[in-house]
Amino acid sequence: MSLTGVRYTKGFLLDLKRRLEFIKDAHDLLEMKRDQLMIELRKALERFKELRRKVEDEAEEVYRELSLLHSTLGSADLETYSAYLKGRMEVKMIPRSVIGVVIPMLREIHIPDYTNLYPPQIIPLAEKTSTLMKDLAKLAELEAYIENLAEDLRKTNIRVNALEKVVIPSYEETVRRIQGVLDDEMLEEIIRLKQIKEILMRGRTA
Amino acid sequence: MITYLICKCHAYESKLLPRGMILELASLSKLEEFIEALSTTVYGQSLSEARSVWDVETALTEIFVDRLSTLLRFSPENVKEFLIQYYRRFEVQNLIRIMRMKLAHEPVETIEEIIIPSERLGGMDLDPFMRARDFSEFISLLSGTVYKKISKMEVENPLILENMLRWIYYSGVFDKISKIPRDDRPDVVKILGVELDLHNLRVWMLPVLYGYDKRLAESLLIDNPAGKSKRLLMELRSVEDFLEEFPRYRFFIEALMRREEWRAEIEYFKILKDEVDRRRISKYINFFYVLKYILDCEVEYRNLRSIAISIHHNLPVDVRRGLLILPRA
Repeated sequence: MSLTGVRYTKGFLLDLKRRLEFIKDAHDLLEMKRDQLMIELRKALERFKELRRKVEDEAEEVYRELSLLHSTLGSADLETYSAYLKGRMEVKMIPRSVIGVVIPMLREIHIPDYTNLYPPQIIPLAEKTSTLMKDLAKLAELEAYIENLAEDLRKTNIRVNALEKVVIPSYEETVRRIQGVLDDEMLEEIIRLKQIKEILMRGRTA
Repeated sequence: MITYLICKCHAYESKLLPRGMILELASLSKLEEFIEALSTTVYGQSLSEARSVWDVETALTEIFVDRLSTLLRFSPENVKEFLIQYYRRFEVQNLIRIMRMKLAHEPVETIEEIIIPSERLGGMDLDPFMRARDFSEFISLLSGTVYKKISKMEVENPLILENMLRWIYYSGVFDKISKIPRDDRPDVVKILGVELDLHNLRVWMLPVLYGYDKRLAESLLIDNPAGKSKRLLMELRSVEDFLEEFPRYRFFIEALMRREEWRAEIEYFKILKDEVDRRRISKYINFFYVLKYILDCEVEYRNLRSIAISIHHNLPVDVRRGLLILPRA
């Protein structure tokens, strides 16, 4: 890639060098951001792995409890137990910014209360399901966080690579070219001046 | 003649599935195999059309109700009166289910699917209750029945209403005890007492286990004229107290302590079965044997239902066997 509108002047060269400096600073910053994102992503993935294992265990336990309860109570009774539940599960989320990445954050999880309301047979299942739902919401939050981080990391990576592989080399190339042209012009000027000086000297001696 | 009813029960008992077959059924891996294995038994015809676990449950319920309703045909008038009242436990179960479904605004069709045909057991017609527009109408319909006390109550918590239904049921059964032969009354009362003891125990452990309000638990206790009194129960504070007061219910209490409600449900029936079986020989030609047969029918019904559902859930064989209500070795 080459820059357009290049003028082979000293002023343009100085401006270009200033811009190149700025781009290099931006590149360093982006590189730092990328590294930080990588660290965050790695930490989040570790947390995700742990939480996912926990949720899987909990889900397995809930399913086991449900199967056992279903087997002992039968379908009809089990189907009617949930009728006493008042309200629904609600999740409130707010956006949060981490290193410039907007991520959803769970602010509140409301699980309908079943204390003093459920027949005893169903309470352990209700308790286990509530815990599972809370952790599932947390897992979804973490998943969204990881997705957003990964997407931002991808974009940052593209930017860093673009700067590193395309923009900075092309600026450096242009600077080199202008510098070369200006050096040539200067050399030309010196030779021209030398020649003039020689002609003048020859004219004086003649 | 009551003797004829007792003889009939002995004859019908031979049609109940043996323990070995129940264990064998529990080790099958597919529902089709389960249906096939039962094809040569009394369940064969009803299960032949069954395709899903729900169909199996419906067929099993039908046969269970058939078995119980047959007894009414051979019962003398006074015993029949007692049996009809005893069978009202299924009507109460139905009313509780309908009440829950009304609170959840479920359509009539869904409610119809989960109802035990208790009318065939001498119970009242539940159709108007199922068709009630809402929960309030359901409650007002109770005013014309033996459960009229409930329609006058102003209670927010449906658990209290459920309990009221049970309380009315047990009061009715104790009232009808006079309809059965004098010799059998203490044993039948004892069994009802055990049922109530277990119910009250479970209720009184709610605040300890799940943080339920003590006053609510107190209002859920049912007077037990044949077991531990409410006052005595309310004095029990800790698990040690429970175990000390009810040593025979140890497994039931321990299951509750481990929060294994499903196991407590099994232990409930095991305790009842043990109680009934202990009197089996001495009451061989008594009305008590009829009660034993009814409980055996319910145990078989629950065992088969449990096997079918656990096969459906693909539970391991040892777990499946653990769900069976079998007398302790």
